[in-house]
Amino acid sequence: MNNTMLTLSNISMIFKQSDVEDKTVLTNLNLDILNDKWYYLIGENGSGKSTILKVIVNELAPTVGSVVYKQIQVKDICFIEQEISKNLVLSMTVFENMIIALSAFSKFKNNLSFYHRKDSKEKCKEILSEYEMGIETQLNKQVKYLSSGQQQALVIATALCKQPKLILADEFTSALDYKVAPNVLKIMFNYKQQTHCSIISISHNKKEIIESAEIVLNLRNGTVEIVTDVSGCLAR
Amino acid sequence: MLDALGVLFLSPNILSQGLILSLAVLGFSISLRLLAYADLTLEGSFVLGGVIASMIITKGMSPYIALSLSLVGGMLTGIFTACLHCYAKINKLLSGIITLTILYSVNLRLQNGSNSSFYNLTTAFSDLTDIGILTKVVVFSLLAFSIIATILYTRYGLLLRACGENVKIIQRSGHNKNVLIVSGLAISNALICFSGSLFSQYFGFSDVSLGNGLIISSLTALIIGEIIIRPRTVITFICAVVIGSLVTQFIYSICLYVNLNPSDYKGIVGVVLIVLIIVRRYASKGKDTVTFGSEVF
Repeated sequence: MNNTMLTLSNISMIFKQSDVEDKTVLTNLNLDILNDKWYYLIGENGSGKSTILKVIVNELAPTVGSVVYKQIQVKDICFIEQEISKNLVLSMTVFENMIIALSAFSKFKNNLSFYHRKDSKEKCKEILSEYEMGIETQLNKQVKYLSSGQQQALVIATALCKQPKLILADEFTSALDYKVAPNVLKIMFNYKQQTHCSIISISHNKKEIIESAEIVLNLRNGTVEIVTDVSGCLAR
Repeated sequence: MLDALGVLFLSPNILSQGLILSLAVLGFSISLRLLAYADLTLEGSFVLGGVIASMIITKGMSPYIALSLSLVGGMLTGIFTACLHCYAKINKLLSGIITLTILYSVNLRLQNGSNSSFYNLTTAFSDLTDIGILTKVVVFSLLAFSIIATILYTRYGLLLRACGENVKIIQRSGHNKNVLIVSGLAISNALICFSGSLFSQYFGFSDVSLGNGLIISSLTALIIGEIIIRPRTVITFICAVVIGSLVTQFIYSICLYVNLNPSDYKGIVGVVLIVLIIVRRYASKGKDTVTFGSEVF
């Protein structure tokens, strides 16, 4: 059985810049993303790691090449950005952020219903209580007043409640301290175990990569290579 | 003196005018705070409301038809401005200025002149006492506020609010941001145009210069309301708009009370706005100056 979720086919990405030379980030990149795998993308700053994620989620069109979605559609992909503020509406409450996430891809007529309903609150509480971060008791609190750990847990909760088949996570643990980060990683791991989704993460954290990665991809000179000796590669 | 000011503030005329203008301020606040869209169409669509009222009423038709048509007219201007931004990719501020400029010519042509009086004709407020007029204005305003509150408490309203602050979330959730901006500005301008129609019917005339300075006085009203109430929910947001509008109207009435030249009013409101923005910044002491929606201004 074909196990490929999507294929990056011959992707090149050149950023046109006025006055200075054009910047080539990706060159003839070919990559198959398989089902039920946790990928880690490593590479130097500016090597194009975030660009790959944005190409996959169709937010950037490659200069050459294409993304072939085989067993998923773009709406099955969830993109978690590095900055928490880009993943949430900070002035809204926890409950309102959850409702926005739960209304993803809903039909227009569903959006005409009231969101302050008891069953919606119960559902949000139920989802958030799995994260053991205490956010389920703070449904009516504005997100900007949560701790960064709670905010990141909420980001993951809003992402996972859309039941994505592919999660793209751009340094999503970098803002977290050493106590909270393993908890968040565990949540992702459990979700992957339950749903057999795939995850593509970007990280500079050696310990996290060694513990979580199933496949490590090193991005160098605009193309990717699979890393077999992770410790050795990261030591460089 | 204080008694006189108190009577002035509670006079039915001031309350009626404040409530009518609060509809325009609410419309402006929806685009500014919820959609983060500084929509300058406001001054044009407010006048359009008056022009539609004069067209309908001078033809002997019902003033309620004028009110209904002003909603449609306002929606169309909002849709036009939003389309300039969303589909012609024109900057938000500029798209409003362009529509405003076009509306100036459209209003003059529709009205066949710069002003039109229908003082002795039947308006929504004909043959009513001051209290009667106030009652009617309260009914219209409550109706409008309830509709807006209802809209904002739906999932659509929630998406509208999110659209101003984090448009990427909206797009990644599979919603079309253009639909939200177009419909949001349609609602906002419908309210403004409705307010303009009520305002003209209240005074019995329509003038193409009625909207001049409305952006500044609306912003003043909004900021005053936000400082007093510090809104965090839809209901408190609407209350802030109403209280801010009434206080702004009160400032106008003080100018009237101390026999200032009416041409000085706008200058005074401008100075009040500058003071408010500075006070708000220092009084917030690092906290958020805007507690509900986006801080564009």
